[in-house]
Amino acid sequence: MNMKNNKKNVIEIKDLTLAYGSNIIQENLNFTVQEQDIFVIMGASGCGKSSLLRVLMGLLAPAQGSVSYNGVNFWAQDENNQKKLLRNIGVMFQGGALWTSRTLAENIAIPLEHYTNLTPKQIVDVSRYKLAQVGLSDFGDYYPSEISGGMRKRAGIARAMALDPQYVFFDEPSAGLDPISAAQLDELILQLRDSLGMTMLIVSHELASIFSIANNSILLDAKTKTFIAKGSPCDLLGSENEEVQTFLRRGKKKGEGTDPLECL
Amino acid sequence: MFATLSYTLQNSVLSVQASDIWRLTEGTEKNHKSNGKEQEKIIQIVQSEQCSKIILNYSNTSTRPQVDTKKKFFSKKNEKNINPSSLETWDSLLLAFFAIIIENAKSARITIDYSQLPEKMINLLHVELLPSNKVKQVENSFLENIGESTINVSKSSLKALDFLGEITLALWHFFRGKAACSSRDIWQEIYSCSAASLPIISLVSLLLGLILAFVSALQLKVLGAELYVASLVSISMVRVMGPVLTGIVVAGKTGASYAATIGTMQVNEEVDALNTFGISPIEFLVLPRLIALTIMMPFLTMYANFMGVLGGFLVTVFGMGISPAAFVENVQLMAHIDSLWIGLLHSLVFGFLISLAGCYQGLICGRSAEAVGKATTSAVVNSIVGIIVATSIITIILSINDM
Repeated sequence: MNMKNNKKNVIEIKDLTLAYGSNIIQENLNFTVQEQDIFVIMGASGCGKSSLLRVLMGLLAPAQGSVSYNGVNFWAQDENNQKKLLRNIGVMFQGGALWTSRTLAENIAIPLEHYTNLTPKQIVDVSRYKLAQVGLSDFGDYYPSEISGGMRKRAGIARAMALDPQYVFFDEPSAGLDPISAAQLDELILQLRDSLGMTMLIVSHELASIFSIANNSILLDAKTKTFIAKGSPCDLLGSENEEVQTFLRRGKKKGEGTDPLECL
Repeated sequence: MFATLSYTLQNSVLSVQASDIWRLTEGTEKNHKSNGKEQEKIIQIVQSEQCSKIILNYSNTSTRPQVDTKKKFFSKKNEKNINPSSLETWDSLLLAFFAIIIENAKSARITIDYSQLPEKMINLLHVELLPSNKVKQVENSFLENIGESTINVSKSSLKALDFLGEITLALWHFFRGKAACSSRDIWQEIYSCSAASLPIISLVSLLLGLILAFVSALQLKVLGAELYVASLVSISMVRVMGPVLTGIVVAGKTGASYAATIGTMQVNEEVDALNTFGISPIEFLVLPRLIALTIMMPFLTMYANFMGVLGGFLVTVFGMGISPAAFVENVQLMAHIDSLWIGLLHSLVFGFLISLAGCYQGLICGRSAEAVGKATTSAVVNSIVGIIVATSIITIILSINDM
């Protein structure tokens, strides 16, 4: 815990309100993400997790409040500076969102071509390395439609990592994966964080994966329209709040059923 | 025995007795109808609060009809599995009816006695049939709807203007060599919008040339001026018909595919992925298509012109016995090279408009399969309207300048 306190706050969310028109989704969100955190945004379906992620990655303007990266308020910047900030962010979308008209290797090469001055040969080398990192070295010449869903997710990670960003956002990385692939994906996320020192922000409601990788989290709630708990998932298990307990224990109250930590 | 239903109302206690086999897939039409009538009566009693307590009761006295084992559809091995006696004698048919009674009873504050029901059934009866007030659907009045759509019109036209502005900026970037679109993309788009459309353009414009020749020949014969069919077909093809026809074919083929492709990318979050990398979708997706189609439309039009004139040539030479030399001479005498330039100007504008409409509709597409369909339709409709409007504007401008 002492280690944690020495770390820098890299993402700061202040008084954030998310809304579509007059329909408020979440309000008064305040939290910080520290360097090299694996930070999980939890919550039931429809509570605004993905919308929060869209605000963080610059796709949806917040109704109110600020999102700061390293002290720079993203939404107060002009378009050019926003683009510069975005360069530090890698995003893995739920379905991978690979560009379907390009091969996997090209998918990774496009951001590299766009943002670096590497030679074509170097770009090919880097994209091959990135694919190998996620275990897809044989599939560089495949199109996204020719590979399985799990592979597409891994390729999505490789592309999110293309520019070695400071922050990586994951939208439900393990949703729809078999337990083995999901565990491998968690392992991969941990490895990448440890060796490259990235800060990871993950939207998820897969409890197994949350407990095994996250060191910090918030739990959003659709009824109160704000977060109802903040802290590491294991700490939250000791929370007195009933809603938090039922979420983390699959709808059961404290003391009922098996303890989620025992399942791991 | 199929489902039967009866009720008694005594001392303001309503006792509902359902018995025998209540299953969705079993029972005759007549049987369902008579039960339906009883159900309505019971609900009415509950709604009019004629009772203070409801006792729900279910019992099965009959034996289930067994599957006819003489039929040899099933092997002996599977017989056990399809024997319906392993299923309950009731299913959602009864549950739905009881749930409605319970819902009505709740709102009338009538107590319900479940004790006569099988325990398995009670567990399934705790559903909320009425929509909760948590999710409110706001319904607008007529006036509000009018106001909203008026605001939307101005919003969407602003959006379209915004798009035009962004296109202009992207083109500016492109000519300075700073745009995020590669020449490879442009070449690929050039191939897919041009070579792939040649067969259909050949067929349609050749036939149009034939039709024009036949129809005009009928009229010109009366004046003894059959020879002029040559120049009539050539001039009308080259000046307007060729470009318009090519425009319509390309709008249906290429414009629609632009909208569908970009719309699907929107659904798959591919456009979002571009945005998060800070790569402009306008430069990456729209620019190659816009440039490719604007460049290729004049070439396609020239090809369509050639095929159309060829159609006219075939009719005049083989159908009307005019010599090829006379055909060429007539065209040379009457047609002016300006017609060709005017036609190509048309096609340049059409190419720009079609790619603009296709890409714009794709980019503003919603996130559903239906939205992609709508985007495609709007792209084609907008392109064709654009083609006709642009043609009239160009024609008016040219006629003012006596061309």
